[in-house]
Amino acid sequence: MKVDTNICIRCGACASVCPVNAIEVADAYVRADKSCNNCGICAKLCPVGAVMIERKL
Amino acid sequence: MSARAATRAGAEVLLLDKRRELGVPVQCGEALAEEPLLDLGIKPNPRWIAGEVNAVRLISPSGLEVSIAEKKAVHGKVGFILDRKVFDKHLAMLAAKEGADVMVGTLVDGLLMDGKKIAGVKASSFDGRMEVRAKVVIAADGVVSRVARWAGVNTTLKLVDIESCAQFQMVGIDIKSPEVMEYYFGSKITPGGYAWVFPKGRDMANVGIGILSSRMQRPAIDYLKDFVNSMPGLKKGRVIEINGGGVPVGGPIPKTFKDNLLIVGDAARQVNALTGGGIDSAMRAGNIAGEVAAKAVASGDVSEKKLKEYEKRWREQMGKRFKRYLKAKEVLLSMSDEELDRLAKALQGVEFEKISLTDMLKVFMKVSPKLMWKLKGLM
Repeated sequence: MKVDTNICIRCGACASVCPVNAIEVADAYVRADKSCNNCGICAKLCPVGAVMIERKL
Repeated sequence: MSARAATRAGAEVLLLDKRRELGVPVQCGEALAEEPLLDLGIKPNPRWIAGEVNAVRLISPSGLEVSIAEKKAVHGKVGFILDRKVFDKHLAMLAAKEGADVMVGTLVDGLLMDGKKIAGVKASSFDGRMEVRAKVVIAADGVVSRVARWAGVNTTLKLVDIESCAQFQMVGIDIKSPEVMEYYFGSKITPGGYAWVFPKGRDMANVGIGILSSRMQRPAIDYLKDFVNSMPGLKKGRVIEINGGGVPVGGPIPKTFKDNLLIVGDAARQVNALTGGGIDSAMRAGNIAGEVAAKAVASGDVSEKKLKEYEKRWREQMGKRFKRYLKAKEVLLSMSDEELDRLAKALQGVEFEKISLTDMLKVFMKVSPKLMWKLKGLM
């Protein structure tokens, strides 16, 4: 997952549903560590649509 | 709340918060009843009260209004719309005044382990990385709830158990009655949730929306924009703040304690599943957690056997209510817009303070025997 920092409000909703506990929600940023497998659940519920999922073609 | 309670009970406490400014960003509607404040010995203070409310207005999908005035009105006030930016700092100040150490801007990013035993937390802050040893860790890390997961407690939410919420703080809007909280229902406005207008005076309010994540087709904020645009009194206003967050509505996690660890608030999913309100329960549970943790530390036994008193106490206080709200939420989620309208119609003119439970059930029966069946076990 990638986060658009201009849109993200750092609420942490994404982290609460992450099945692999990959997302760190700090005061200034939200990011996923290597264990993120781009499943996309976090993007589904982001209240502001700040989460992007990278899909390999 | 935990920090205040534990310090009061004689423990040495360090309160860590990742936020550099407590209460920011705001992640909720900021509504809180007066009762928990009084119960917990916190004197309401105009510095963090942005609005006072004493009634609720429910608006059905077709626009029918049902008004409920709070029975328990004391001196005409029963609830507040808070300014969390000031309120959260006030709570930290109360803890600090009791003697708790406070570190803001400090992100807990791991647990410190002695073998399999939780021995504290790892954190990073302005001062660099640090390790904090503690006999008991109280995980109050909100909806993110990573601390519990590091400790092996599964707090991961499913999309059906979390509301995705967006909120605007708006000014220059028309508030008909500043003492009334409004809730709007309907699958078009807000699938599996509701929109709210919580007044902060005559021309200002928190205007928000909560949508069941599993039913969302677009980001919550888009639904919120649609809602605002559909209301002439709101449309003309200006947005001075954008907030949002996830609200756990699947009921509390089954177990909120472990050797050396207590889990409180949103992290433990201690949220009213029907309304999504969680300030009240988090404060009450946090208070209990602090007391129990301090007692356990003083006794030299911080095993789960000792710490389970926390769970016992909060469940006694709130467990039944949480179950009832969860059931009520399921009923609400199962209702179609048409059923909601029929219910609102049947409730027109009902004086909630005077109506008996039996009469209320008759109203439901009239609306839908199916609904009545769903409500079984709720009353």
